[in-house]
Amino acid sequence: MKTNNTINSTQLFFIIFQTQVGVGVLSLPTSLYAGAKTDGWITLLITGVIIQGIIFILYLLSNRFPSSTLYEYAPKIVGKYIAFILSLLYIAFAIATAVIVLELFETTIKTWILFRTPMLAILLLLTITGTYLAVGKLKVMGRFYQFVSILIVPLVIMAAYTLKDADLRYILPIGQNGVGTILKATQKGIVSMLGFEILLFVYPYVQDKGKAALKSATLANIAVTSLYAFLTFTTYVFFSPKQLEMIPEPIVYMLKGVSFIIVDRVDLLFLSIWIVSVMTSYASYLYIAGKGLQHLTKRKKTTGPIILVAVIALVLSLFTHDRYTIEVIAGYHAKASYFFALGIPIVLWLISIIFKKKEGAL
Amino acid sequence: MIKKLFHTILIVCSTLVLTSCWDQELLKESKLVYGAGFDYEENNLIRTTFVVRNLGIPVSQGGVYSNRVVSVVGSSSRDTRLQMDRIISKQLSASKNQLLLLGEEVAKHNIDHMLDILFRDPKSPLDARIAVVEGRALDMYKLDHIGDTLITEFTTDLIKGAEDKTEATKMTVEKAFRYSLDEGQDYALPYISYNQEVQSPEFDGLALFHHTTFTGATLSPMESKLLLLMNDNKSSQTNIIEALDNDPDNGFLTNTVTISVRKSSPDMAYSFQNGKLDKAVINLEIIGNIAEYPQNHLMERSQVKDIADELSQRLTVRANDILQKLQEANCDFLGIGRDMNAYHHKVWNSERWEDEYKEIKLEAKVKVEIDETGIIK
Repeated sequence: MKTNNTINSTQLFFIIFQTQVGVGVLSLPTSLYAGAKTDGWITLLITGVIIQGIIFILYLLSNRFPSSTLYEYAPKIVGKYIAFILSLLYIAFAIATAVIVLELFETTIKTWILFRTPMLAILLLLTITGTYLAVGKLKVMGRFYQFVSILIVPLVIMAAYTLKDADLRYILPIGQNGVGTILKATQKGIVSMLGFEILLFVYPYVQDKGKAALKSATLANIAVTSLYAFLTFTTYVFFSPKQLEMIPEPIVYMLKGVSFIIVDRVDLLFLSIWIVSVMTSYASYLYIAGKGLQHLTKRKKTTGPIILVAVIALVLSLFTHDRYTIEVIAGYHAKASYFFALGIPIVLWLISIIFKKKEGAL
Repeated sequence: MIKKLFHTILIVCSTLVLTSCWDQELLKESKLVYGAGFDYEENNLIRTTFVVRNLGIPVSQGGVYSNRVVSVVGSSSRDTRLQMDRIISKQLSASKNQLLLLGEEVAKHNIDHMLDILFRDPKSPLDARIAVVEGRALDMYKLDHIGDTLITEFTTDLIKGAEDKTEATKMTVEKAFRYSLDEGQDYALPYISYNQEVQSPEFDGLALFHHTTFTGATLSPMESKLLLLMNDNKSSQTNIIEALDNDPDNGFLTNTVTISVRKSSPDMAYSFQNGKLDKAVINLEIIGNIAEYPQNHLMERSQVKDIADELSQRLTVRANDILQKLQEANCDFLGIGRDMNAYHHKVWNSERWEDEYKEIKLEAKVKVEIDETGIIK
């Protein structure tokens, strides 16, 4: 059954990459600036290293149970009941992430492009396409993610174009705020780079497990880190420091002033590409939640659970939230994400080592 | 086959519902603003002037372009904008505006107050040129047209022309936003005045700004040129004209030399004392060709060198005058504060800099080299 639903290493790379690149990229420079001032882009590089460590642990855990997802092997490690609660929590977390993605997507679209369009119409656009994608096989998701990743290239070119107006002096001297602040701000970086935890849920479908899978995940992490660091860097050398405090979405703002001879408002082009990246992360989280629900309800297909999850996320995101409320909610979500992306997997991994739990060795 | 057809029809039909019906803004239903101006009125009121393009008969059918100048007074830019909507038919759209003029008086107040509306609105044109006008912006727009060019296009082209001749840097709304908040760098906006003799607006140098306010000091186009060379902002053509007095009594009308600058390289050197910046020396090297020198023909190399030496001397004096003006206006156009922050971080203190800048010794040394004389000697 699984033979026709496997993904190869390239698809794994793009699945992780596109899940990580998402809604957070727009506000990333500002939130890093709030923590580490003009050294925020260094913070990001350090975050990449930390995430690499986490990815390694996730890989070690997954590799002990190469043919099952976290939902399937959790009972073997911590027993039926705790595993049930854990699964529920993971589903709730994935839904919460999907809701936040929807919320941030909606506020961004509302403030930047479509001012008068009803909220529901905007949310439905993302929900329908995202659900459609998540309902398809994982292989389809992988192929689609791979296909749309070409869109990252114009995105990078647009950002690079603004470097002609850059002033390097804005970020000099490097490290002026001390190593402490730089390290402290890494927590802000980790949040926007979440998405690598999808490894726990797609690992059994990877064709070449072991080293090849780890390599894909590592490359994805390197790609995301460099993309984010580059985008952050361009905004840091473009805006004077005081501006970065007050502009919540610096990348878009930066591109707003760019105009070519026949193309105006490059920010709209950027946002259009960004929407695709948001959609892919959204679909990934629907997939994680749907997969868990399917496992708990012992259904054969994921279609029903994913649609249910999408509806729940849509309803939750319909409560009107302003920019400041979303920031508060996103703050809670960020704290929770440490447990789900890092804490719980580590505990599971340690238990599985201590009690020598492994696939086949029950 | 039937299934395929069904799918095609489905796809075609579904694209119909994909258009954004709520947010469409049709050009035929909006009036485009081609120029905006702000002036100060008594009692902290702002006068906003919009130049709106009339869309009458298309030019292809024998119509002519024409503008309507509307001006209202209100408590803020947004307030005046709302009043505008009441006196202009159709939806007013400023998103394609390419020119923003600030009256002298209003620029001396905080320009952020006027520009906030532009910084905040996602549809605002951040790439619009921004300039300061001698007197009022309204009076400038009231000229309506110069020859057969409309005033908005005319003024924009004046500014663009000055940018090409190293007389002004490209200052857009976005750049003004960037520098007005910067602690270690000030800026200058093009200064437009009205020339009585030819009865048209004239590019008249740079208006020096400190943070968000116009300092009241301006530089002439000639001074602007030298300042921009010192700041490494050279654009495609730069001509420097300077009087000479090597032989005053040769019966010529002119006693000047014009050089066109081919290359210029400024270099800053800082020296410190007691943990503070004490002195900044700008060494500017200019390499250029002679563009006009009617007094004599330059047969000998030594003649060219004499001219270059005298130019060096005179331009050094001029450059030092400019630096003094900058300091008096407290306008850190050269970004010395930024340099301190970036390269000499220990002596940098943003609060202290405000007073420190006026105290430092600024000195310019200009060295001119001439190596071509055009197609005659």
